[in-house]
Amino acid sequence: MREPTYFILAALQDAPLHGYAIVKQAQELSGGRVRLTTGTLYAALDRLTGEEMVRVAEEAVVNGRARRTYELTGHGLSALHEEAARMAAAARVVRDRPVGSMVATARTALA
Amino acid sequence: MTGLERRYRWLLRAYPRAYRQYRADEMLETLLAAGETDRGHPNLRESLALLTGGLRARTGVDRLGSRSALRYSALRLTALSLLVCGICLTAMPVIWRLWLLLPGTSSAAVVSGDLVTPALWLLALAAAAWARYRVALAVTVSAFIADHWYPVAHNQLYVEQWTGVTASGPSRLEAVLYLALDFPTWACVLAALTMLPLLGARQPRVRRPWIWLVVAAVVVAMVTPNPLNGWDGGFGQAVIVVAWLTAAIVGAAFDVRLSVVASTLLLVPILGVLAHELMGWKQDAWAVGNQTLLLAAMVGMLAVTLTISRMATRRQVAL
Repeated sequence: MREPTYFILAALQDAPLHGYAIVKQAQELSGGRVRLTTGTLYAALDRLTGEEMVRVAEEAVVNGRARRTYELTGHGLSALHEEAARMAAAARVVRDRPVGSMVATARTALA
Repeated sequence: MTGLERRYRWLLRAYPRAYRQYRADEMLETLLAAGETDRGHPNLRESLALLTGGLRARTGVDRLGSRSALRYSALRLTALSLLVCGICLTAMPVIWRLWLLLPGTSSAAVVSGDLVTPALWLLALAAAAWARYRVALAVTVSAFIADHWYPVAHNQLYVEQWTGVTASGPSRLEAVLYLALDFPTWACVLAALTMLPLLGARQPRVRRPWIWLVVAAVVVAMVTPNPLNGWDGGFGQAVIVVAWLTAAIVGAAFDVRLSVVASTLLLVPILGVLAHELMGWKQDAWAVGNQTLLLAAMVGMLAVTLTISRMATRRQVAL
Protein backbone atom coordinates (compact mmCIF):
# COMPACT_ATOMS: atom_id res chain seq x y z
CA MET A 1 0.00 0.00 0.00
CA ARG A 2 1.42 3.38 -1.01
CA GLU A 3 1.68 6.22 1.46
CA PRO A 4 -1.15 8.38 0.00
CA THR A 5 -3.54 5.41 0.11
CA TYR A 6 -2.53 4.65 3.68
CA PHE A 7 -3.18 8.20 4.83
CA ILE A 8 -6.49 8.44 2.96
CA LEU A 9 -7.69 5.35 4.84
CA ALA A 10 -6.18 6.69 8.07
CA ALA A 11 -8.01 10.00 7.57
CA LEU A 12 -11.33 8.16 7.39
CA GLN A 13 -10.89 5.93 10.44
CA ASP A 14 -12.50 8.33 12.92
CA ALA A 15 -15.39 9.82 10.97
CA PRO A 16 -16.76 10.10 7.43
CA LEU A 17 -15.23 13.01 5.53
CA HIS A 18 -15.76 14.81 2.20
CA GLY A 19 -12.99 15.33 -0.38
CA TYR A 20 -11.38 18.50 0.90
CA ALA A 21 -11.54 17.32 4.52
CA ILE A 22 -9.73 14.11 3.51
CA VAL A 23 -6.96 16.17 1.86
CA LYS A 24 -6.52 18.29 5.01
CA GLN A 25 -6.69 15.33 7.41
CA ALA A 26 -4.18 13.26 5.38
CA GLN A 27 -1.79 16.21 5.33
CA GLU A 28 -2.14 16.71 9.08
CA LEU A 29 -1.73 13.02 9.96
CA SER A 30 1.39 12.71 7.81
CA GLY A 31 2.98 15.81 9.31
CA GLY A 32 2.58 17.69 6.01
CA ARG A 33 4.35 15.00 3.95
CA VAL A 34 1.31 13.80 2.01
CA ARG A 35 -0.19 16.63 -0.02
CA LEU A 36 -2.91 15.06 -2.10
CA THR A 37 -4.00 16.73 -5.30
CA THR A 38 -7.66 16.54 -6.23
CA GLY A 39 -6.91 14.32 -9.23
CA THR A 40 -4.93 11.85 -7.09
CA LEU A 41 -7.53 11.88 -4.32
CA TYR A 42 -10.48 11.00 -6.55
CA ALA A 43 -8.51 8.39 -8.50
CA ALA A 44 -7.65 6.77 -5.16
CA LEU A 45 -11.24 7.06 -3.91
CA ASP A 46 -12.54 5.45 -7.12
CA ARG A 47 -10.13 2.57 -6.69
CA LEU A 48 -10.77 2.14 -2.98
CA THR A 49 -14.53 2.23 -3.59
CA GLY A 50 -14.09 -0.44 -6.26
CA GLU A 51 -12.10 -2.56 -3.80
CA GLU A 52 -14.82 -2.02 -1.18
CA MET A 53 -12.44 -0.40 1.28
CA VAL A 54 -14.33 2.89 1.18
CA ARG A 55 -17.98 3.72 0.48
CA VAL A 56 -20.09 6.81 0.01
CA ALA A 57 -21.71 7.61 3.34
CA GLU A 58 -23.78 10.60 2.29
CA GLU A 59 -24.53 12.72 -0.75
CA ALA A 60 -25.52 16.34 -0.30
CA VAL A 61 -25.73 19.51 -2.38
CA VAL A 62 -23.59 22.37 -1.08
CA ASN A 63 -23.36 25.71 -2.93
CA GLY A 64 -25.34 24.10 -5.73
CA ARG A 65 -22.74 21.36 -6.21
CA ALA A 66 -22.74 17.69 -5.24
CA ARG A 67 -20.67 16.81 -2.21
CA ARG A 68 -20.11 13.22 -1.19
CA THR A 69 -18.93 12.07 2.20
CA TYR A 70 -16.85 8.91 2.37
CA GLU A 71 -16.43 6.36 5.14
CA LEU A 72 -14.25 3.34 5.77
CA THR A 73 -15.76 -0.14 5.35
CA GLY A 74 -14.88 -3.08 7.59
CA HIS A 75 -12.62 -4.41 4.85
CA GLY A 76 -10.87 -1.00 4.57
CA LEU A 77 -10.36 -0.81 8.33
CA SER A 78 -8.81 -4.27 8.51
CA ALA A 79 -6.54 -3.48 5.50
CA LEU A 80 -5.44 -0.31 7.30
CA HIS A 81 -4.73 -2.21 10.52
CA GLU A 82 -2.80 -4.89 8.63
CA GLU A 83 -0.65 -2.25 6.96
CA ALA A 84 -0.04 -0.47 10.27
CA ALA A 85 0.98 -3.79 11.88
CA ARG A 86 3.31 -4.53 8.97
CA MET A 87 4.99 -1.14 9.30
CA ALA A 88 5.21 -1.48 13.09
CA ALA A 89 6.91 -4.87 12.70
CA ALA A 90 9.33 -3.34 10.20
CA ALA A 91 10.05 -0.49 12.64
CA ARG A 92 10.68 -2.96 15.48
CA VAL A 93 13.49 -4.58 13.48
CA VAL A 94 15.42 -1.32 13.90
CA ARG A 95 14.11 0.04 17.19
CA ASP A 96 14.18 -3.11 19.33
CA ARG A 97 17.83 -4.00 18.75
CA PRO A 98 19.83 -4.55 21.94
CA VAL A 99 21.85 -1.46 22.96
CA GLY A 100 25.11 -3.47 23.02
CA SER A 101 24.80 -4.54 19.39
CA MET A 102 24.02 -0.97 18.33
CA VAL A 103 27.17 0.27 20.08
CA ALA A 104 29.23 -2.50 18.44
CA THR A 105 27.83 -1.59 15.02
CA ALA A 106 28.64 2.09 15.59
CA ARG A 107 32.21 1.22 16.66
CA THR A 108 32.69 -0.97 13.57
CA ALA A 109 31.44 1.83 11.36
CA LEU A 110 33.76 4.35 12.98
CA ALA A 111 36.81 2.09 12.88
CA MET B 1 -18.93 31.52 -12.17
CA THR B 2 -15.47 32.87 -11.30
CA GLY B 3 -12.48 32.80 -13.63
CA LEU B 4 -10.81 30.14 -11.50
CA GLU B 5 -13.89 27.93 -11.58
CA ARG B 6 -14.16 28.33 -15.35
CA ARG B 7 -10.51 27.35 -15.79
CA TYR B 8 -10.84 24.31 -13.53
CA ARG B 9 -13.96 23.25 -15.42
CA TRP B 10 -11.95 23.46 -18.63
CA LEU B 11 -9.20 21.27 -17.14
CA LEU B 12 -11.79 18.77 -15.96
CA ARG B 13 -12.66 18.18 -19.59
CA ALA B 14 -9.60 15.89 -19.63
CA TYR B 15 -11.90 13.32 -17.96
CA PRO B 16 -14.42 11.30 -19.99
CA ARG B 17 -17.92 12.74 -20.22
CA ALA B 18 -19.55 9.99 -18.14
CA TYR B 19 -16.97 10.49 -15.39
CA ARG B 20 -17.48 14.25 -15.43
CA GLN B 21 -21.23 13.85 -15.07
CA TYR B 22 -20.66 11.86 -11.88
CA ARG B 23 -17.65 13.63 -10.43
CA ALA B 24 -17.01 17.09 -11.92
CA ASP B 25 -19.07 19.11 -9.41
CA GLU B 26 -17.59 17.30 -6.45
CA MET B 27 -14.04 17.68 -7.76
CA LEU B 28 -14.62 21.33 -8.48
CA GLU B 29 -15.84 21.88 -4.93
CA THR B 30 -12.64 20.27 -3.60
CA LEU B 31 -10.43 22.18 -6.04
CA LEU B 32 -11.92 25.52 -5.08
CA ALA B 33 -11.70 24.72 -1.38
CA ALA B 34 -8.12 23.42 -1.63
CA GLY B 35 -6.83 26.23 -3.84
CA GLU B 36 -6.38 29.82 -2.85
CA THR B 37 -9.69 31.17 -4.07
CA ASP B 38 -8.30 34.67 -4.51
CA ARG B 39 -6.05 33.39 -7.30
CA GLY B 40 -7.27 33.69 -10.82
CA HIS B 41 -5.26 30.75 -12.19
CA PRO B 42 -5.33 27.07 -11.30
CA ASN B 43 -2.45 25.65 -9.30
CA LEU B 44 0.15 24.05 -11.63
CA ARG B 45 0.44 20.89 -9.52
CA GLU B 46 -3.35 20.48 -9.44
CA SER B 47 -3.57 21.14 -13.18
CA LEU B 48 -1.00 18.47 -14.06
CA ALA B 49 -2.72 15.99 -11.72
CA LEU B 50 -6.07 16.70 -13.38
CA LEU B 51 -4.64 16.21 -16.88
CA THR B 52 -2.88 13.00 -15.86
CA GLY B 53 -5.93 11.74 -13.98
CA GLY B 54 -8.16 12.54 -16.95
CA LEU B 55 -5.94 10.65 -19.38
CA ARG B 56 -5.70 7.72 -16.99
CA ALA B 57 -9.48 7.65 -16.70
CA ARG B 58 -9.76 7.73 -20.48
CA THR B 59 -7.30 4.86 -21.01
CA GLY B 60 -9.05 2.84 -18.29
CA VAL B 61 -5.77 1.87 -16.60
CA ASP B 62 -7.17 2.89 -13.21
CA ARG B 63 -9.94 0.32 -13.52
CA LEU B 64 -7.40 -2.54 -13.78
CA GLY B 65 -7.61 -3.57 -10.18
CA SER B 66 -5.06 -6.36 -9.97
CA ARG B 67 -1.60 -7.30 -11.16
CA SER B 68 -3.03 -10.06 -13.38
CA ALA B 69 -5.55 -7.68 -14.99
CA LEU B 70 -2.75 -5.21 -15.71
CA ARG B 71 -0.59 -8.00 -17.15
CA TYR B 72 -3.41 -9.26 -19.36
CA SER B 73 -4.18 -5.77 -20.61
CA ALA B 74 -0.51 -4.93 -21.27
CA LEU B 75 -0.04 -8.20 -23.19
CA ARG B 76 -3.18 -7.56 -25.21
CA LEU B 77 -2.16 -4.02 -26.10
CA THR B 78 1.35 -5.21 -27.00
CA ALA B 79 0.04 -7.99 -29.24
CA LEU B 80 -2.35 -5.63 -31.01
CA SER B 81 0.36 -2.99 -31.46
CA LEU B 82 2.72 -5.58 -32.94
CA LEU B 83 0.00 -6.64 -35.36
CA VAL B 84 -0.53 -2.99 -36.38
CA CYS B 85 3.25 -2.74 -36.74
CA GLY B 86 3.17 -5.78 -39.04
CA ILE B 87 0.49 -4.15 -41.18
CA CYS B 88 2.56 -0.95 -41.43
CA LEU B 89 5.63 -2.91 -42.48
CA THR B 90 3.87 -4.83 -45.24
CA ALA B 91 1.15 -2.46 -46.40
CA MET B 92 3.09 -0.45 -48.97
CA PRO B 93 2.03 -2.51 -52.04
CA VAL B 94 -1.63 -2.20 -50.97
CA ILE B 95 -1.35 1.56 -50.41
CA TRP B 96 0.39 2.00 -53.75
CA ARG B 97 -2.38 0.14 -55.56
CA LEU B 98 -5.07 2.10 -53.72
CA TRP B 99 -3.26 5.31 -54.60
CA LEU B 100 -3.39 4.40 -58.29
CA LEU B 101 -7.14 3.84 -58.05
CA LEU B 102 -7.65 7.50 -57.16
CA PRO B 103 -8.76 9.62 -60.14
CA GLY B 104 -5.92 11.52 -61.84
CA THR B 105 -3.07 9.63 -60.17
CA SER B 106 -0.33 7.75 -61.94
CA SER B 107 3.10 6.48 -61.09
CA ALA B 108 6.09 5.46 -63.13
CA ALA B 109 7.51 3.48 -60.22
CA VAL B 110 6.34 -0.02 -59.52
CA VAL B 111 5.85 -1.07 -55.92
CA SER B 112 5.81 -4.79 -56.17
CA GLY B 113 4.85 -6.97 -53.30
CA ASP B 114 2.48 -9.36 -51.80
CA LEU B 115 -1.14 -8.37 -51.10
CA VAL B 116 -1.96 -11.52 -49.15
CA THR B 117 0.43 -10.79 -46.27
CA PRO B 118 -1.05 -7.41 -45.23
CA ALA B 119 -4.54 -8.89 -45.62
CA LEU B 120 -3.58 -11.71 -43.26
CA TRP B 121 -2.05 -9.26 -40.76
CA LEU B 122 -5.29 -7.28 -40.88
CA LEU B 123 -7.32 -10.43 -40.30
CA ALA B 124 -5.10 -11.35 -37.34
CA LEU B 125 -5.56 -7.88 -35.92
CA ALA B 126 -9.34 -8.13 -36.22
CA ALA B 127 -9.33 -11.55 -34.51
CA ALA B 128 -7.06 -10.34 -31.70
CA ALA B 129 -9.10 -7.16 -31.24
CA TRP B 130 -12.14 -9.34 -30.51
CA ALA B 131 -10.03 -11.53 -28.19
CA ARG B 132 -10.03 -14.51 -30.59
CA TYR B 133 -6.39 -15.21 -29.89
CA ARG B 134 -6.27 -18.76 -31.24
CA VAL B 135 -7.51 -17.58 -34.64
CA ALA B 136 -5.21 -14.54 -34.46
CA LEU B 137 -2.19 -16.73 -33.72
CA ALA B 138 -2.96 -19.11 -36.59
CA VAL B 139 -3.45 -16.22 -39.02
CA THR B 140 -0.24 -14.52 -37.80
CA VAL B 141 1.70 -17.71 -38.55
CA SER B 142 0.04 -17.77 -42.00
CA ALA B 143 1.14 -14.15 -42.55
CA PHE B 144 4.69 -15.18 -41.67
CA ILE B 145 4.60 -17.99 -44.24
CA ALA B 146 3.03 -15.76 -46.92
CA ASP B 147 5.57 -13.01 -46.25
CA HIS B 148 8.44 -15.39 -46.95
CA TRP B 149 6.93 -17.42 -49.70
CA TYR B 150 6.09 -14.48 -51.97
CA PRO B 151 9.51 -12.81 -52.44
CA VAL B 152 11.31 -16.09 -52.92
CA ALA B 153 8.71 -17.39 -55.31
CA HIS B 154 8.74 -14.14 -57.30
CA ASN B 155 12.52 -13.68 -57.24
CA GLN B 156 12.50 -10.28 -55.56
CA LEU B 157 15.40 -8.13 -56.65
CA TYR B 158 16.00 -6.46 -53.34
CA VAL B 159 17.26 -9.70 -51.86
CA GLU B 160 20.03 -9.71 -54.44
CA GLN B 161 20.68 -6.02 -53.99
CA TRP B 162 21.36 -6.21 -50.27
CA THR B 163 22.81 -9.64 -49.83
CA GLY B 164 24.55 -10.23 -53.12
CA VAL B 165 22.82 -13.57 -53.46
CA THR B 166 20.12 -14.48 -55.91
CA ALA B 167 16.70 -15.51 -54.74
CA SER B 168 16.66 -18.57 -56.96
CA GLY B 169 18.72 -21.64 -57.56
CA PRO B 170 21.18 -22.92 -54.98
CA SER B 171 21.24 -19.71 -52.90
CA ARG B 172 17.47 -19.66 -52.37
CA LEU B 173 18.01 -20.88 -48.82
CA GLU B 174 20.20 -17.87 -48.12
CA ALA B 175 17.55 -15.56 -49.55
CA VAL B 176 14.95 -17.17 -47.31
CA LEU B 177 17.28 -16.64 -44.36
CA TYR B 178 17.69 -12.97 -45.29
CA LEU B 179 13.93 -12.52 -45.38
CA ALA B 180 13.45 -14.56 -42.23
CA LEU B 181 15.61 -12.06 -40.36
CA ASP B 182 13.74 -9.00 -41.64
CA PHE B 183 11.52 -6.67 -39.57
CA PRO B 184 8.11 -8.26 -40.33
CA THR B 185 9.45 -11.59 -39.08
CA TRP B 186 10.32 -10.13 -35.72
CA ALA B 187 6.98 -8.36 -35.49
CA CYS B 188 5.37 -11.71 -36.28
CA VAL B 189 7.45 -13.71 -33.78
CA LEU B 190 6.95 -11.18 -31.00
CA ALA B 191 3.20 -10.94 -31.71
CA ALA B 192 2.90 -14.74 -31.57
CA LEU B 193 4.93 -14.93 -28.33
CA THR B 194 2.79 -12.19 -26.78
CA MET B 195 -0.42 -13.96 -27.75
CA LEU B 196 0.64 -17.31 -26.28
CA PRO B 197 0.02 -16.34 -22.62
CA LEU B 198 -3.28 -14.77 -23.66
CA LEU B 199 -4.58 -18.13 -24.93
CA GLY B 200 -5.00 -19.51 -21.44
CA ALA B 201 -5.98 -16.27 -19.72
CA ARG B 202 -9.50 -15.54 -18.57
CA GLN B 203 -10.76 -13.20 -21.20
CA PRO B 204 -12.81 -10.22 -20.14
CA ARG B 205 -15.58 -9.25 -22.52
CA VAL B 206 -14.23 -6.93 -25.19
CA ARG B 207 -16.26 -3.81 -25.77
CA ARG B 208 -15.70 -1.31 -28.56
CA PRO B 209 -12.11 -2.31 -29.41
CA TRP B 210 -11.98 0.01 -32.43
CA ILE B 211 -11.66 3.30 -30.57
CA TRP B 212 -8.19 2.66 -29.22
CA LEU B 213 -7.21 0.68 -32.31
CA VAL B 214 -7.49 3.78 -34.48
CA VAL B 215 -5.28 5.69 -32.03
CA ALA B 216 -2.84 2.78 -31.70
CA ALA B 217 -2.61 2.36 -35.49
CA VAL B 218 -1.72 6.02 -35.95
CA VAL B 219 0.84 5.98 -33.13
CA VAL B 220 2.45 2.73 -34.24
CA ALA B 221 2.56 3.91 -37.85
CA MET B 222 4.33 7.02 -36.62
CA VAL B 223 6.88 5.49 -34.29
CA THR B 224 7.84 2.19 -35.85
CA PRO B 225 10.27 1.98 -38.74
CA ASN B 226 8.08 1.38 -41.75
CA PRO B 227 7.77 2.62 -45.31
CA LEU B 228 4.70 4.68 -44.41
CA ASN B 229 6.56 7.19 -42.26
CA GLY B 230 9.71 7.64 -44.36
CA TRP B 231 11.91 5.81 -41.87
CA ASP B 232 14.71 5.63 -44.45
CA GLY B 233 15.19 9.39 -44.34
CA GLY B 234 17.58 10.91 -41.76
CA PHE B 235 15.06 13.53 -40.60
CA GLY B 236 12.28 10.96 -40.34
CA GLN B 237 14.46 8.76 -38.14
CA ALA B 238 15.30 11.62 -35.78
CA VAL B 239 11.63 12.58 -35.45
CA ILE B 240 10.63 8.98 -34.84
CA VAL B 241 13.32 8.47 -32.20
CA VAL B 242 12.18 11.60 -30.33
CA ALA B 243 8.51 10.61 -30.69
CA TRP B 244 9.30 7.14 -29.40
CA LEU B 245 11.13 8.30 -26.30
CA THR B 246 8.49 10.97 -25.61
CA ALA B 247 5.71 8.41 -25.95
CA ALA B 248 7.52 6.05 -23.56
CA ILE B 249 8.32 8.67 -20.93
CA VAL B 250 5.15 10.76 -21.05
CA GLY B 251 2.99 7.69 -21.63
CA ALA B 252 4.39 5.95 -18.55
CA ALA B 253 3.19 8.86 -16.42
CA PHE B 254 -0.44 7.96 -17.04
CA ASP B 255 -0.46 4.45 -18.46
CA VAL B 256 2.31 1.93 -17.83
CA ARG B 257 1.04 -0.18 -20.72
CA LEU B 258 2.26 2.43 -23.21
CA SER B 259 5.86 2.13 -22.08
CA VAL B 260 5.59 -1.68 -22.15
CA VAL B 261 4.28 -1.46 -25.74
CA ALA B 262 7.02 1.03 -26.70
CA SER B 263 9.71 -1.28 -25.31
CA THR B 264 8.38 -4.30 -27.19
CA LEU B 265 7.95 -2.41 -30.45
CA LEU B 266 11.54 -1.25 -30.15
CA LEU B 267 12.63 -4.89 -30.16
CA VAL B 268 11.38 -5.25 -33.75
CA PRO B 269 14.03 -3.00 -35.37
CA ILE B 270 16.67 -4.01 -32.81
CA LEU B 271 16.33 -7.71 -33.56
CA GLY B 272 16.07 -7.04 -37.30
CA VAL B 273 19.20 -4.90 -37.47
CA LEU B 274 21.09 -7.12 -35.03
CA ALA B 275 20.38 -10.21 -37.11
CA HIS B 276 21.52 -8.49 -40.30
CA GLU B 277 24.57 -7.08 -38.55
CA LEU B 278 25.57 -10.56 -37.42
CA MET B 279 25.16 -11.89 -40.95
CA GLY B 280 27.09 -8.99 -42.46
CA TRP B 281 24.06 -7.77 -44.44
CA LYS B 282 22.75 -4.25 -44.77
CA GLN B 283 19.23 -3.65 -43.66
CA ASP B 284 17.39 -2.06 -46.57
CA ALA B 285 15.26 0.20 -44.38
CA TRP B 286 18.33 1.77 -42.78
CA ALA B 287 19.96 4.20 -45.14
CA VAL B 288 22.52 5.32 -42.60
CA GLY B 289 26.28 5.23 -42.61
CA ASN B 290 26.86 3.58 -39.26
CA GLN B 291 24.42 0.78 -38.63
CA THR B 292 26.27 -0.30 -35.47
CA LEU B 293 25.98 3.16 -33.92
CA LEU B 294 22.27 3.26 -34.64
CA LEU B 295 21.87 -0.21 -33.17
CA ALA B 296 23.66 0.94 -30.01
CA ALA B 297 21.38 4.01 -29.84
CA MET B 298 18.30 1.80 -30.12
CA VAL B 299 19.55 -0.54 -27.42
CA GLY B 300 20.10 2.53 -25.23
CA MET B 301 16.53 3.65 -25.93
CA LEU B 302 15.32 0.17 -25.05
CA ALA B 303 17.16 0.37 -21.71
CA VAL B 304 15.48 3.71 -21.00
CA THR B 305 11.99 2.50 -21.91
CA LEU B 306 12.46 -0.74 -19.94
CA THR B 307 13.57 1.20 -16.85
CA ILE B 308 10.60 3.50 -17.19
CA SER B 309 8.26 0.53 -17.66
CA ARG B 310 9.64 -1.15 -14.56
CA MET B 311 9.28 1.95 -12.41
CA ALA B 312 5.80 2.69 -13.73
CA THR B 313 4.68 -0.92 -13.20
CA ARG B 314 5.85 -0.86 -9.58
CA ARG B 315 4.01 2.39 -9.01
CA GLN B 316 0.86 1.10 -10.72
CA VAL B 317 0.81 -2.21 -8.85
CA ALA B 318 1.65 -0.69 -5.45
CA LEU B 319 -1.00 2.00 -5.77
